Amino acid sequence: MTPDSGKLTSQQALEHARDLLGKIARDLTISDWHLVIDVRGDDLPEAALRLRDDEKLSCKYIISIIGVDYVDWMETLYLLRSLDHSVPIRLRVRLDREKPEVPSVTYIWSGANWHEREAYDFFGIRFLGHPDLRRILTREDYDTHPMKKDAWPHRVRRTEWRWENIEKPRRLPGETDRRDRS
Amino acid sequence: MSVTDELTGPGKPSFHLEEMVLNMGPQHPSTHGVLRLVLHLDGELAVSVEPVLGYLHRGFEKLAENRTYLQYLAMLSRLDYLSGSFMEWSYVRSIEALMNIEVPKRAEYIRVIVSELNRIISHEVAIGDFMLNLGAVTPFFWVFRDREDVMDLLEMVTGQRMMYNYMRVGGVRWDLPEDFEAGCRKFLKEYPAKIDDYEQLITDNEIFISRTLGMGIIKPYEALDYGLSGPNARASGVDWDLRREVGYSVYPEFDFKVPLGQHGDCFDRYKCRIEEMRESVKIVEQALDAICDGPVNLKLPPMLRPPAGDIYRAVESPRGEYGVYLVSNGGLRPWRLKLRDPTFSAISMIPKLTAGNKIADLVAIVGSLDLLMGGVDR
Amino acid sequence: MSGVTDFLTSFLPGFLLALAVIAASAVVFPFLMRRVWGFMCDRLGPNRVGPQGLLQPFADGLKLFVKEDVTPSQAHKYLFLIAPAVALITPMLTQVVIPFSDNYTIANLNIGLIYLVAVGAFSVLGILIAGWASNNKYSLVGGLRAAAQMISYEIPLILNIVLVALLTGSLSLNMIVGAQETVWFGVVQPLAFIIYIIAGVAELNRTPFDLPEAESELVSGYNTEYGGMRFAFFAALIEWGNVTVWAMAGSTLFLGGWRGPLFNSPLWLAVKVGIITLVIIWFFSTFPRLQIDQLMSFAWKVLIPLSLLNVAVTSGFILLWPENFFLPTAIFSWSSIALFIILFPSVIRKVLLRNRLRLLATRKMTTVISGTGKGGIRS
Repeated sequence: MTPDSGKLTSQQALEHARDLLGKIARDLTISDWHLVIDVRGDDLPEAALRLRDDEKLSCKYIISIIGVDYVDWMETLYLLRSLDHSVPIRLRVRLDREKPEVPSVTYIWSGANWHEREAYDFFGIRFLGHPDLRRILTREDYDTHPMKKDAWPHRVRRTEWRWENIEKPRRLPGETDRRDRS
Repeated sequence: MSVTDELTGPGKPSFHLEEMVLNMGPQHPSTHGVLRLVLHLDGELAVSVEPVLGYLHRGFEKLAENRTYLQYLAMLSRLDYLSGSFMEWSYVRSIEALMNIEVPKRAEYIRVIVSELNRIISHEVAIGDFMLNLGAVTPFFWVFRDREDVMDLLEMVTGQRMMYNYMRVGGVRWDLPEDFEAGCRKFLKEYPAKIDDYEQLITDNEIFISRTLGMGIIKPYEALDYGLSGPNARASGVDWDLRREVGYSVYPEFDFKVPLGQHGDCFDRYKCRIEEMRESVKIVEQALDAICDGPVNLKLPPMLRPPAGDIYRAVESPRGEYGVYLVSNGGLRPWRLKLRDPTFSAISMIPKLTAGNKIADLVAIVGSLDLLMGGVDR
Repeated sequence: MSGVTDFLTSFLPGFLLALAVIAASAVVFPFLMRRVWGFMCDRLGPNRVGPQGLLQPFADGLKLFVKEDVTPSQAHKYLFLIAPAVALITPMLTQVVIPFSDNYTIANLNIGLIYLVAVGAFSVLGILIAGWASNNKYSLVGGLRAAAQMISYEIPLILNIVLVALLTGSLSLNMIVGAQETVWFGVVQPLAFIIYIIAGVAELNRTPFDLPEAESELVSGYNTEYGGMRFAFFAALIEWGNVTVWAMAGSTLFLGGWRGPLFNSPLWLAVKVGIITLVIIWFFSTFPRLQIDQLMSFAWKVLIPLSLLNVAVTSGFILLWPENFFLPTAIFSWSSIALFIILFPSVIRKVLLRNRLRLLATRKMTTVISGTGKGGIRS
C-alpha cells in the first residue's frame, strides 16, 4: 500500500499542506499514507480552494463526501485526490450534532453537488450555500435522516449507539436477536 | 377588449411556446434500470435534463451497520451487479488494511484473474447496452453470447454467474478448480478475435461514427471537476488508473497499457472500453503465467473485529474508482460504511452533458457513460 | 345488375387478393425476420411452435387477438380506434395496380405509377393519427417524426420512380414490366434502384431509419399506447404490409416484376419481394439508428441531389439518343456507383470526418447551457 515512487510521499504532502494552510489546518495527521487535515467548518471553503489551486497538491478531483455520525458529534469528510501525486487527502470537519451545518463546496468542485445532497439526505447535514439541497436517494417526504444512529430510536437500542460500546449487544429480556446468530 | 385578447388574455402572445415535460423512466428501455430523467423538451431538443435517483435504494450503507463484517460480504456483489467482484475486493481490502493482514500471494493472483474476467463481461454489457441505445440490436446479442463463456469460467471458480461472494478477508473462498486454467487459456486465445468482430460490426460503421463522434464531449478538467473516473475519465484523456497509480494487489507485476481517449466523446468512451477489454485479456494471461502455489486464504476467526479506526480503499472497477470508506469502533459490525460508486459521479454529470441535445443524442450519451443503477442507488 | 356482377367478378376477388397478400406478408415476414435475425445474432430464434417454429406467427397472432382491447382514458376515443384502420388502407389500396402476371392486375390503370405514388403517400396519415390520438408524449414525438421523415423521403422515392417512367415512356405498370423484357431497369439504373431501396426503407420506418418507433428513445413511438389486436395491426399487418407492397412495387419497377429467367409467373414476384425483404432484415441487424437531423440532411443533401442529377443525365441521354439510351444510362449509373465505392474509404469518409470534427466546435457552444468553467465557478 505504498504510493508510486517519484511522487509525493505522505510526509512531503503533510509538510507542504502545513505550509499552505497555515493556521487554517487545526491538525494534520497521516493515517495509512492518507493525509488527514482537520479544519473548522468556517475555514472549509478557504482550505478547499487552497488545496485545489495549489501547484503541488492540486486536488482537482473529489472522490466523495462522507458523513459520519459518532453519536456525540458528526463529521464530514472530503476525500480529495490529485492526479499528479497519489496521496489522497481527507479534509475532516467536525460538526455539532444538534445543528450540523457546514459551508458547501459545490462552487469549488461541481462533483460535490450530489455528494452533499447525499450527506444531507442520510445525515441531515445542512450544506450552506448549496444550490439545490434536496433529498437524493430516499423519497422527498421521508421523515428521518436514516443514517443517523438515532434515526429509528424505537428500533435500535441505546447501548449500541455508543462509540465505546464494543461488547456484544446485550439481549433484552424476551427479545430474540437474529443478528447474534452468526 | 378585442376578441383575440379575450381568447388569449391581455399581454399574452397569441400562441404559447411551451416546453414539454417528459418523464423518461424509471421504466424506459434505455435508462439502464431505474434511472429517471425529467426532460424539458423543446420539440426534439432537451432543454434541461434532471436525473432523479432512488428507485433502487435499498439502504446498503445502513444495513452494513447491522451485520457482521463477514455477513455483509454476501451483499456487496448485489450493488453493482455486473461487476460484483470489485465491490467485494474493495471491501475486503479495506478490512485487510485495517487489520493489517498480508494476503497470500496466490489469493492475490486469483483475485486479479477473477476481477479482470469480470471487467471483460462488464465492458461487454456496457458496449451492448450502448449499441442498444443507439438502435443496433445485434451487438447486444453478440456480447451476451460471448459473455456466456466468461460467465461459465466464473461460475467454475466462484459457483455463481453474477453474485460471486468469492472474496474473503485474507484471501478468497476456495482455490481455482483444476480445469480452470485450460478453459481460461482457451477463452483468452479465442477472445481477441471476437473483439475484432465487434469492432468490424460497430467501430467501422458510418452511422455509428456519425452518431457518436463529437457527441457528449467531456473535457479533462470537467471530468475531474465532477469526479469522473474509469473509462469515462480516461476517454477524456485523464491519465489515471488506480491499478497503475496505486499499484494495489499484484498489478505492478503486470505489463498492461491504460487506453486513453483524445476528445472525450461517446466514441472515445466506447473505444476505451474495447481497448480495456484487450488489456484485461493480457493481464489475465500474465496472471495465469505468474500464478504461484500456496494457500488461498488465511485462517481467521469467524467473528472479525478490526481495530478501531477508519480507512479508505479503492479499486479500479469497470466503471471507475470503486471505494469503500470504513469506520470501525472495534466491534463486530462496521460503525460506518460508505460505498463510493463511480457511476454516482457520472450521473451527476448528465444534466450538464446532455442539456441542449436531441433525445436521440441524450440516449446515446447516457448509454456511453455506462450507468448501472444498482451501485448508484445503493 | 351490372353493379352486382362487377362486385362479384372484379371487386371481390381483388379485395380478397389484396387482403390475402397483406395477411400472408404479416404471417411470413415477421417470422422470417425473427429467424434470419436470430441466425445473424448467432442464436436460434423462435423454433418451438410447430416444425421449425413455423406456427409461431399464428401463436403470436392468437395471443394478440385475444388480449384485452385497451383504450387509454385520456386518448381521443374515435381517432385512437380508427388509426390502425386508416393506416391499413394504404397497403391495401396501393397494391391494386401491381401486375401479378401478363393478364392479371387487380385494377389495370394506365396511370398506375401516379396512383402508386399518390396513394402511397397516405401511409403517414394513420401513423400521425395514432401518434396524436394516443395522448402520449412519446407517441406524439413518434408521429411527428414519422410525418417529417416520410415527407422528406417521399421526394427521392418519387424522383426515382420518375426515372422508370422516363426509361419506359409510360405510366402503366404493365408497360413497365413489358419494357423490362430484355433487361431489368435495376441493371440499367442500379443507382436509381439503390436510392429507391434506401428511400423506401426510410419511408417505411425500418432500421436504420426507424425513428418514429425508436424503442430506445421513444419506448415504441407512435404505437406505444396500442395493445392487443390494434398493436398486431400496426406491428404486423401495416408495417409488413407496407414493406410488401413497397417491395412489390420495387420489383415491378426495377426487377422485371413477374418476369423471370426461365418462366413467367407471379412466383417470381414473390421471390423478388422476399429478397428485398431479406435486405431490410439485413439492414435491421447491422445498423444503428440515425439521428433525426442526420436523417433529414441525408435525404436533402445526398439522396435528392443525386436523384435529380440522375434524372437530368438520363433525360439528356434520352434526348441525345432517343433510340438507344439504355447503354449510356447504364454506363453512367454503374460508373457512379463504382466511383462511390472507390472514393468512399479514401476521400468521402475523410471529408465526412473533417466536417464532423469541424462541427464539434460549434456544437459545443450550443450544447453547454449551464455549466462550470475551468475554475469550477458556476456561471
